[in-house]
Amino acid sequence: MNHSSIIRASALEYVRGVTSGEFTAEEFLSETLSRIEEAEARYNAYLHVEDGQKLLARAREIDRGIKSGQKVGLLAGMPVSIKDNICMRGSRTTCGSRMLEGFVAPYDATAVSRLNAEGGIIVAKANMDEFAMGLTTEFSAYGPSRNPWNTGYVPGGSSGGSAVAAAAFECVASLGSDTGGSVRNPASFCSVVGYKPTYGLVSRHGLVSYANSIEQIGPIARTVSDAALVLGVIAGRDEHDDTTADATPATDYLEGIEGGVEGMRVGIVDEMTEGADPEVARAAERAAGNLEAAGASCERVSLDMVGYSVPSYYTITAAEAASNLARYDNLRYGYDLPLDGYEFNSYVAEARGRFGPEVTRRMILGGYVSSAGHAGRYYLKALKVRAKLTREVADAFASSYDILMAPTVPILPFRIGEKTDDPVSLFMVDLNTVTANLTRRPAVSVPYAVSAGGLPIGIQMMADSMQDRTLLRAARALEMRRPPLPEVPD
Amino acid sequence: MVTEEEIESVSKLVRIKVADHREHIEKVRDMINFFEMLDSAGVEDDELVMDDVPVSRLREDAHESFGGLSGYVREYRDGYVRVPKMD
Amino acid sequence: MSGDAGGAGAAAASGMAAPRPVIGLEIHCQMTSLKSKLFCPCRADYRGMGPNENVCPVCMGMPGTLPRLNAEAVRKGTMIAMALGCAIPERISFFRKNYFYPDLPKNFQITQLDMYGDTSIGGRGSILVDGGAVGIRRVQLEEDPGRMIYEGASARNHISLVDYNRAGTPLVEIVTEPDFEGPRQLRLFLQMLSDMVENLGVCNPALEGAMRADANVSLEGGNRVEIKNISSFHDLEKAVVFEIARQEAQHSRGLEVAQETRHWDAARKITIPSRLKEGEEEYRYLLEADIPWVRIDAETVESLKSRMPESVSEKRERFVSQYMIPPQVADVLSSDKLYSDLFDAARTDKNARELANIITTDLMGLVMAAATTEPAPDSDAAGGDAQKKRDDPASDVISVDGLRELADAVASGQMARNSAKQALHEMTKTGKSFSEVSSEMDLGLVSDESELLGVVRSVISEEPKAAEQASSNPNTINYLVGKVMQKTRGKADPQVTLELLKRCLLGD
Repeated sequence: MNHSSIIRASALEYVRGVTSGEFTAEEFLSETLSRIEEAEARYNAYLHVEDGQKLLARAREIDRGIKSGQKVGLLAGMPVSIKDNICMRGSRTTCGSRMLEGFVAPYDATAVSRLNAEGGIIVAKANMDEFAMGLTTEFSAYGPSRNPWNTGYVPGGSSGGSAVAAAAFECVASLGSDTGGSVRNPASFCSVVGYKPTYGLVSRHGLVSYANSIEQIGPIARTVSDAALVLGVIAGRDEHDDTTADATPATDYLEGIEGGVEGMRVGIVDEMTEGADPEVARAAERAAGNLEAAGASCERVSLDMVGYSVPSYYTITAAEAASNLARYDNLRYGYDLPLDGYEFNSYVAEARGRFGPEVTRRMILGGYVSSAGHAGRYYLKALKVRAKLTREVADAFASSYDILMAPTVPILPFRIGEKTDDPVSLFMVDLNTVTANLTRRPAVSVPYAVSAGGLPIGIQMMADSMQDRTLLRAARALEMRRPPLPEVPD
Repeated sequence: MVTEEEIESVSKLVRIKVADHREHIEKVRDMINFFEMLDSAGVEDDELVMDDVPVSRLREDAHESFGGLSGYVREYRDGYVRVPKMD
Repeated sequence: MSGDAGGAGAAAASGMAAPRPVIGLEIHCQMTSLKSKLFCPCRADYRGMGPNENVCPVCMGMPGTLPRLNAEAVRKGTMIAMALGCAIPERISFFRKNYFYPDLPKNFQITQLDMYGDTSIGGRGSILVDGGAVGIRRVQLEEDPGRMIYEGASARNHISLVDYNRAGTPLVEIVTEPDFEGPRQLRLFLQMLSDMVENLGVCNPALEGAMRADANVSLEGGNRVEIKNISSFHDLEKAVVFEIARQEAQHSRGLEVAQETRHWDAARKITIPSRLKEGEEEYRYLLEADIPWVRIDAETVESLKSRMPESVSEKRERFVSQYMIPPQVADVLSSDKLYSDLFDAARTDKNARELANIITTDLMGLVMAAATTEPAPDSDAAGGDAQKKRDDPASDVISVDGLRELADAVASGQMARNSAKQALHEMTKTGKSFSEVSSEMDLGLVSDESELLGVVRSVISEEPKAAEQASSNPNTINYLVGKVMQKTRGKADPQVTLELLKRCLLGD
């Protein structure tokens, strides 16, 4: 592997290479930083790149550790990035919003401290739709990220920056957050792996809340095993997040990942394939064929409540967002807006005028569906739909299936600007991903094919709660059996 | 049908100054109309499902000082945060 | 509910008189005895700290932070609910009350309500107060907001200062049914509640702002008026009395009482209407998904029951039945945790009655007198000192051992009650031990026969008539014992004196 191509290494290849002395952490990081500098002009994956000298010093420290036989952690100096809604002490955290232009986080998110503890080097904060509301990264206040497969196209979102960065070798892996598909959707659009863990597997401490009842931090990487490696680093019970589950910390999610799908029962969800773009639907059929060839049994399954998942999802997320984002009143932290001449309420309203139009709309929407006169018809009903959908999905797993499968996104990536004006048609892009969030099940997007027009297609797999290992095993099997994928253009 | 007045009053409720509500009215209306699909989900009699934990899983009562937030929080005067008065 | 039914009868019976007042309360009690806030490890008792020193990213509502529910707050809240006779739900849940306010860092308050089933920490309780049942609608846990300080009084000043040290302090809110029949029952309820939370180790009610109450007042069948901004229980009673009178005056003039929120103006001692802005009552309650629902299983309830200290009424009952303390004395002693703790620490089976007497008649008076001569605290900053005093007012002035020795001496007849009072005074004033004081002041009983004989003889010669009747009337002997006591200023051993008198007069 020569120096110009070392940064194309997978995470596992990186760890092998750096610990065996094939290259140093400093060399790898240095190549990565050059790559970032060169690629950012085209992709806008990052909002903020950390100080190169400090990062390199950290890499040298890791190299010294490797040479002297000390423990350097599972990641051994691997360059990673994190979505800009994950807090890192002393670093800017804008959530893609001008509202938080001046905000510096006073503490590390648990995912960040765990990455650091295992020798990860966080090189940059990745671009995103403002406060994670969107699925194209076009709603970032700092300009859209661009899809490396075709820079005229959206990279998906809201963790678009993370997916672009992983796809374009601006890091080895990245952390995104997934509220309704925000990790899986851009992973699918950029032909990388995006993993949404079981709710409660990864601590949300330090993840800026958008819809806190359903979202999770999840890894985006170039292979399924890489995602499993990073998941193992960040997963586990955290006393800072009462909703984390009692899983053993730093469980090895790589263990058994090559076990294959022999005997697994896979359900292909009708409601998620029926309306799909024909090219996307064909990919899902072929993927089922690949799994059958590997010994799984696949059949079609209908889940009625999936048809109501999107309105339920948008109602709950809007209501929670209106509440979660209420704290941004610009009084204790935020951007510079003098107090003079304002009364409290007028100041807050003026300051919050800085939210972008999509965030503004969703908060108005959230205020509406949770207000006394409308909560019964919208918010409460959405909670009940979620409960019924959860039962339906739980029954499917309990009685018949190990995996539920569908295309990650029913359509192909689209052009920047193509859908920004039609929120409801954008809503339907989320149809296949929101069910995993609403039911708190783990789900993954695996790159599967590239369309005739050169655009990526991903396949989504979902498993039952806390069956993350089963899910990773199935995803790895699909990854091995899929037809070869072209290289990302550069 | 959601009226412009309702949108205006909700934007007041969530404290966002909107220069022109007409900019949002159509999109918000489309979204809310879309949500009305929930009416046909037949979930009126469904119960909510919530996870629960025992008391022993909660944080035990112990003091720990964060060591202050100066530098991270605006402290305008003698350690106090300055805010505009309420009407 | 029972109050409503009874009230209807009372109104019918009273004919044309003003309808009876209906009063309900919402009491906020800070859990000042906890070590940390409701959702983060900052201090629960913020008093005496500089502005914004008792804060962290969680209670400041910084982006990405999550509440971490305090287990002890759940346990203590459950204890209060049990003590108020409430039903304990199988699971508790939290909600967000959304509204914008400068003292609310997240612009929502995490609280409890019974929106999807009974999931507040307690509900549907009832407690007897002054012979009448007061219903408890709900007991809930919630967080206190920060505190606003207004900069100067100038109208030109448009700025307020906020100190978030209090933000996130655990509160128990107790919502009663509108069952109170009048200010007296109200006062007794608040006293009982204040004793209860202190006794349960939840709250020190003496701390400024630790217990606060809002009242809602109506005349039966009339509109309900909420009174807010009442800073002390003392003012609460005044506010309620004022409000009842105001509503009765309206009623007698045939005017309808408006349904509104009023504020108590402590300076003018009246209630005034609050300005309520449109939409202010729209709280968009949402489930707080950051806090899982918490199971309060039977095992937890049982272990809490065993942890619950004796209630004030149980304590009173024990004092009366076990130590034969007169009921009035037991009332006084049991209602004050500090003195009853002191009592329990110093009592023996033999000295209990005398000890109760000494504490309630002498010691309480001495401590109270000492407290009123102290300079009054002039600001919030003095809160810390005031707390220390309240924590230990009596044992500051006398030790448990000293008190026990004193009571032992009286109970065994070695010291007269009057002398004990003097000794106590001396001990508290000088901090000297019981033995030092009793020997120095010569407060010990004179039981030396030769010493007493002289006094006995002189009393007999001064009271010839009584001396004569002594053989026929035994009460007369007691009278003469009293005379001897007078002469010795209470130092004569009554037993020895009686023996001597009998010997001299009856030739026994």
